[in-house]
Amino acid sequence: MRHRLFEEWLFSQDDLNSAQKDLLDKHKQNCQRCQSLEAAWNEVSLYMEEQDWMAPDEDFGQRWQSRLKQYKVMEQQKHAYWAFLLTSGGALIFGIPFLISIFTTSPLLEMWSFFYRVSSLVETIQRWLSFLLMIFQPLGVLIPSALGIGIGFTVWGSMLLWLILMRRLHLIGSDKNGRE
Amino acid sequence: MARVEEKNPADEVYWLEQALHGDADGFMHLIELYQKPVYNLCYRMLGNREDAEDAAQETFLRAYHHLQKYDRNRAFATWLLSIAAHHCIDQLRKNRVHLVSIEDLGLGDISDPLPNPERKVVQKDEQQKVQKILLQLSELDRAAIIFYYWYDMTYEEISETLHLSLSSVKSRLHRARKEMAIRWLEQNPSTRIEVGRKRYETPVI
Repeated sequence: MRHRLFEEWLFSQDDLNSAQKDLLDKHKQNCQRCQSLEAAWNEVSLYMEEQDWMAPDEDFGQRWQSRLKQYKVMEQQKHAYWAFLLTSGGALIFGIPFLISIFTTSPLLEMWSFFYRVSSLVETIQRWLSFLLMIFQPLGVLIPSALGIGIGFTVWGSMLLWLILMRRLHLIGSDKNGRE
Repeated sequence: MARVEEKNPADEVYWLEQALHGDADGFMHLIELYQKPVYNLCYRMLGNREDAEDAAQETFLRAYHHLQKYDRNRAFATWLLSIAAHHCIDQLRKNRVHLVSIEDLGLGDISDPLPNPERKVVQKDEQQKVQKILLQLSELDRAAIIFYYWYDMTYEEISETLHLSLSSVKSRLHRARKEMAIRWLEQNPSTRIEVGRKRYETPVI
């Protein structure tokens, strides 16, 4: 039999039957390479078994607890960030056309006149309402009124949630600073 | 898993129940019980104290967040070590080229029952060599060897922990043993001559 097979058997002796073990023993008697490899593995396994278990430094649990706290604050910040992004995105979508309509319809002179400004604002609001009507009228046909109300509540709800989250984060931050 | 089961199983069950009911103190007790096996695994896998500490902390964080997914039919230790092993494997794959400082391989915690300075030096040196060879194995082969020789796990337990088939575990162990023996032989060409003599004995003149 070829040496290569015996070399393979050398490292899986638990899986060999007695006949295979006998063959391996006979081969080992005449094969220096197999003898060396077996001796090398015996040394390695012995040193591995002798190695003690490594232990962490003291107060591992306390360090873990502070890491957990840090993780929770990071998670809260992440949620607040997403809530802020979503609500800001929503506000921008609705706010940009409003701002554009204000600045494009007011002449420079009117800016200095209070009455003109008021009339301009009223006019702008009217235009804005008609703009919204223009957008939502076709949507009103497609979206049932109940769903429309639902969407409205969701938008306001998410804005409220954002405000609450920002308030909570502010409180956590000030509490943490106070403790430090 | 003889070495892991040295813990009192009653303690484990009690604190595990507490932790599963959302008691943070219960989980802290589990950390006390398992910090050493988890840290040791991370150290053997990653090769230095700093990374081992970080990986062990992360392991407990993941376990804490996924505690409700823990299957009570499995041993808690196996589940925990599985998280640790997979985290270490991920870390190793992220940083393929990882430098291990010789100081980190110092194995400062090695206890020596015999106050023989010569033996201590030889033993430390040889154990450093073994740890270096271990770190040269592929991630999964290394994990299989660590579980088999440090944690006395059976093939079935290793296969469950590493999510490998039984035959894959056997072939990985076989390959790892062979690779370690060859590397050892390359570093210690005199190994064969010394067969039959105790390792710390002075050569016969």
